[in-house]
Amino acid sequence: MHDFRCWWRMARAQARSQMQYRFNFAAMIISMVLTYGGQFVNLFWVTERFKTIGGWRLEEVVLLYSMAILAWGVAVSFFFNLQGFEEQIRSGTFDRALLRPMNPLLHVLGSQSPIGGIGQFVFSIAAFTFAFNATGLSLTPVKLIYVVLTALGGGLILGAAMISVATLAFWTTRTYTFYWSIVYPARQLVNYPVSIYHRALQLVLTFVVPFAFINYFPAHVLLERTSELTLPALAWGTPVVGVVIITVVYGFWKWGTRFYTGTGS
Amino acid sequence: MRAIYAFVSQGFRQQAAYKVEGWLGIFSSLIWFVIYIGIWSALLQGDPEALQRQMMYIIAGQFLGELNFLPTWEVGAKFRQGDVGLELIKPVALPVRILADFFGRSLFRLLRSTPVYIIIWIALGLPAPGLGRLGLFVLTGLTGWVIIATLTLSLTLIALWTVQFDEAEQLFGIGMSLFSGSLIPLYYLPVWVGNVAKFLPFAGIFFVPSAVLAGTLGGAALLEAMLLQILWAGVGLGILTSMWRAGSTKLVMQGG
Repeated sequence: MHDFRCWWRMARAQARSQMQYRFNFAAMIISMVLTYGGQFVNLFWVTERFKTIGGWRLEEVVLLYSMAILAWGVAVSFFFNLQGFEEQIRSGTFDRALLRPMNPLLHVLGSQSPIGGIGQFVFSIAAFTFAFNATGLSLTPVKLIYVVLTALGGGLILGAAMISVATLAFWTTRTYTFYWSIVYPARQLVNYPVSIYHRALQLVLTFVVPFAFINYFPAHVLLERTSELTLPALAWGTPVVGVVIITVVYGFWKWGTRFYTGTGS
Repeated sequence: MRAIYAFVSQGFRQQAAYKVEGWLGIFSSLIWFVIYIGIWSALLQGDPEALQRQMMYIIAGQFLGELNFLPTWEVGAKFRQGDVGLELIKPVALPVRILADFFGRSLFRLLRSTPVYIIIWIALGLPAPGLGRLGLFVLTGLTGWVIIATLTLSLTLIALWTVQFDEAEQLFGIGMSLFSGSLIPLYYLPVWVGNVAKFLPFAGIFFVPSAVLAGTLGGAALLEAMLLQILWAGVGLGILTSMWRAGSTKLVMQGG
């Protein structure tokens, strides 16, 4: 608990610091919304021309997309600075995290502002509202709670991917390359229904890199289509999968820290 | 000319030195292939001929993605940190050196990835393109590179006045994602969007060369597209030259 209190103080300080540059902050939100809006327009044009993607209509694909961005907003808020962790390894400043009386991972995470994902939240909530209204289904309290739990669980799954990338830096001193070459494109896989991919890839996205839990499986709950899944229980699995995978990856991180050697200066 | 060749060669060797990036770049391309093939197989499942053309279009687009990778953020950092001072003592103008370096890096990436694209082409059972089509693909691809390189570097040079202005490049990126044909060929866009997009510079960067290789652009339409490409390449070169001439007199050295 002490570690989380320390993290919260550090993160709040970072948020206050970010808010000193209000114009930059507003520009960041606008540019995020425009970027995701551009992808939304592409989805709109594709479905206007072809009607469905793998049997999923526009509003259903937008629902998937908004859930993916919502979870990414959680990951950006808490884990995004891990993509630049290589700088701490190369310069040796990770020494500080190891010497201070708090959890080293939380120390690293505390050096970023927890409001960095606000652009993703603004876009995803707007897109989600559009998509859900277009489906004509009702958003019951149970569904709403599950959306929140799914966003948190999905954020943990993506956070686990970010921690894995950061851990690799203990051996490779690289994080940017791993993020932009693997995590970024892999994230895009779930912007579309996972069912359009080869069966082997569907299994990978379910059991190995469980990105299908970010949006594809839980969307079946919201669309009341869980019976279409081979294992309907998977639709409710996101929060549990999120907690399990981040625990496993945290073990990997702790093991990786044993290989940190510092820079000697 | 020798200095430009030297900078191209330097960029090529520099890229070759990053082996981890090289392998990860190929892995990343494969993930993008899987995404595009999945989407377009789902969309065109009832039309095998259109799907085959789209596969060729996707491979061309991925190839152009390697060519058109322009790390202009490195240039922005030079302005912010004052490193640009070292650039000014070099024997060629900064934009020329930067573009030669970027081109050298792209050449290495293309050389590294070409065998992968050829294997994918064969694995998908796609028909071999004729030499004429390949030649046109190279020509239109290189013209497209001039368009994107000059326009994005011009946007980066805005930093000479404002120190930082990433938003301009982000807006350009949004234009690329909507109108370049890198995600959706222009002929699959709504008619009015396609009609507007073909006159914008973005189309010359991805759509024209990709459609040439896929065999979906030919005759008068191809001639018109190539003329527009040349026009936009000229515009890009003009903007870049003017901005550098005006901006280099405004240069503020940061640091100390």
